[in-house]
Amino acid sequence: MKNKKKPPGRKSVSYSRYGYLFIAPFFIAYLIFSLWPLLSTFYYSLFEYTTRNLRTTISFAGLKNYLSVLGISEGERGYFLTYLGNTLRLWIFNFIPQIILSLLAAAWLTDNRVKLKGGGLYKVMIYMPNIITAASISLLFCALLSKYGPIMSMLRSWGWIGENTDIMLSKWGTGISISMILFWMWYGNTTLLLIAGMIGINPSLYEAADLDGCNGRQKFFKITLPLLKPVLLYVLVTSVIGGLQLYDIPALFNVGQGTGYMGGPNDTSTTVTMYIMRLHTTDTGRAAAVSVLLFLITLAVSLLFFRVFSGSEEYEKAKRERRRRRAGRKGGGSSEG
Amino acid sequence: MATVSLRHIKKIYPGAGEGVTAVQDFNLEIKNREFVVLVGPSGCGKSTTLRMVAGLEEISDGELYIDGKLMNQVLPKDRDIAMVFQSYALYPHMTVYENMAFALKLRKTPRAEIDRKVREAAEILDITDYLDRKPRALSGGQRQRVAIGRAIVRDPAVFLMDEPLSNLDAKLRGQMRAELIKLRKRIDTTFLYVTHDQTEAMTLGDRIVVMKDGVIQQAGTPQEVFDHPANLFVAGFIGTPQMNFLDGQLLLENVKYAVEVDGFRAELPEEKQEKLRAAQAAPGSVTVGVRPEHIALAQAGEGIRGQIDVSEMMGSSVHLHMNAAGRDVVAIVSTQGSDGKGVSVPPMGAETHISFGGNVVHLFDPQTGKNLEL
Repeated sequence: MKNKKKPPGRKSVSYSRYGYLFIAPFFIAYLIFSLWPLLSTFYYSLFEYTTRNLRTTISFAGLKNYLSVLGISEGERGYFLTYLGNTLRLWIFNFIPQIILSLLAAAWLTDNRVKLKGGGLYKVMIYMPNIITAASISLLFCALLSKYGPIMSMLRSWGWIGENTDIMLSKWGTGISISMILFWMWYGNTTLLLIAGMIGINPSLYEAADLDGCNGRQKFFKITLPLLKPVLLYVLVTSVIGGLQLYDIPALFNVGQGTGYMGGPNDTSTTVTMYIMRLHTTDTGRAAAVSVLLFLITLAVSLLFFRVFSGSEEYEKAKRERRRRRAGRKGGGSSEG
Repeated sequence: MATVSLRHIKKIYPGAGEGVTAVQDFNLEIKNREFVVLVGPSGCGKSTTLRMVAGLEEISDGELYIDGKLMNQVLPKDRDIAMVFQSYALYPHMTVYENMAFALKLRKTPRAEIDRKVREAAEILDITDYLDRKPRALSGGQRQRVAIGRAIVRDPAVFLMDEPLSNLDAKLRGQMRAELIKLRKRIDTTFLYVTHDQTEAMTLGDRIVVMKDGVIQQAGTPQEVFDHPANLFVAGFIGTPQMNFLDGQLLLENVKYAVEVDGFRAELPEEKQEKLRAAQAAPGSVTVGVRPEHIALAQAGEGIRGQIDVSEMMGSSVHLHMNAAGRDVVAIVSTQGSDGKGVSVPPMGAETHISFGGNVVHLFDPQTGKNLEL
């Protein structure tokens, strides 16, 4: 009898303890490999690293590194904005056609009335490029699009071009090619996400819309798109973050005809992360400053999107209020006006 | 306000072989301002029929006329109909106001008129306070009202309702049923209502259409269908608890019909005699249908002997489930006599005797299931 009696506190089992145990590895890895490097990057960005006679001296520089990469310092040409422009250009030319075509494909593949045959095979096919490593894809396209590669030869044999052109020498040739590769790689992924979002929309909403008098276009814009907002936000934010950190494809695509100099021609396909990579061995301080700027921009853009998408409810409320007041005035006033 | 006419309507879903027939040769003339209820068990084709009227399902064969105009190929939006869905189908990203105004906006109705109509409908349905809310912030009953409101503002020629109350709990369903009856008086239009609940059908419909396996079993006023079910299916489907069926004999002696079940004989009234004579009913085996409320307990030695399995106390009455004449029989016995005094009800397991009058029996052909009087 005596042994069976235990203090009341020990009877209950604290299950949350196991929960913490299971999620601990993530937090430990995050602290060591993400949070610490992030904070130390802020710290490094405030110092100047000068190497002379194999000796590196470190001195506090304040915001000098930032001013330098932004081109605000006197006598220095900052490359940050140029490369940020390149990055955005490469991303936009991939993202805009990607989202439009993905929406179209998703709308077609989920429409019960269209009943496309082979939809499953199509989904597999468009997703395939996403599982190949970016390096392989970059090199593959580099070979396909090279001056004496199969595409140029084909175009010439069809008589579409007079002589083989080297797109690697053209800013737009290189840029569009990189955007196209990115599009090819991510189109399937985006389409599948949008399909998942569209399947989640209650089909009777479309029937109600049919009865309410919507045509196909109105159904898409007034029902599908607003209800896809969370998925669209996810696609947009992940794509922007991925786009701002764009590295592998441009770094391996135009490598200066074997000279190994990336981002050609004339650095027009150099992205911000390529800039960081270029700086980090010789100029840690400025590399850190660029990283911090990139982080801040990513953060700002993500916050902005979340605000625009989720904050719109407040905005709509205000809009309704205004409209109601207007209608109230026109209709001779209402009880709630 | 409009007439709806369904002529030889058929729905065949493509499939292996000849496909699956959901609705077979459906014929129905719905009068202007009539409230017609399609009722039947799951899969009987009632929703499919409604959806064909709405234009959400293609009509495989036959013709659909609304107000005399052929509608088979007309788009749903051009049929001048409104529909309330079982799932309500409210647009989740729009407020109650926007949901109700949506159809009018698409029709380019002036803003002031939209506002007036929406507020009027909201007033009728008592949802004015929720106009600024999104559907997810409403309860099931409120959503139901919004769905009805969305249909009202359209002022449609035909009002279609697809099991609108089946997602509500029993209490709310009862309330909404009463409100639909009131609402129906306010909005004077043609209704086509689908339900699997025979109580809804009986209470709401001017006329009810009982369906099974894609075929109309009977169409008539609730009273007609209840009093004169066309066949065994209708007899069993309409009325709760359902009608009892007993194996009996139809006797014809001296040009007079009578019924005998397990030695108990019931004489038929003149009205039934005439109907049976007119239908030239042949004497022999019949299925005798008697509603539970028409079964009375008899003195020992009289009537049909039965043994009580379960006794369910309902307050003012007791439902006695018993085995009599080889069939399961339910009898509803009042716990109060006409003098207001309590009546003793036999306990579970007890042996009892039941009887019924000849005026309340329904006679069906045991093979075809058809009512012999019709």
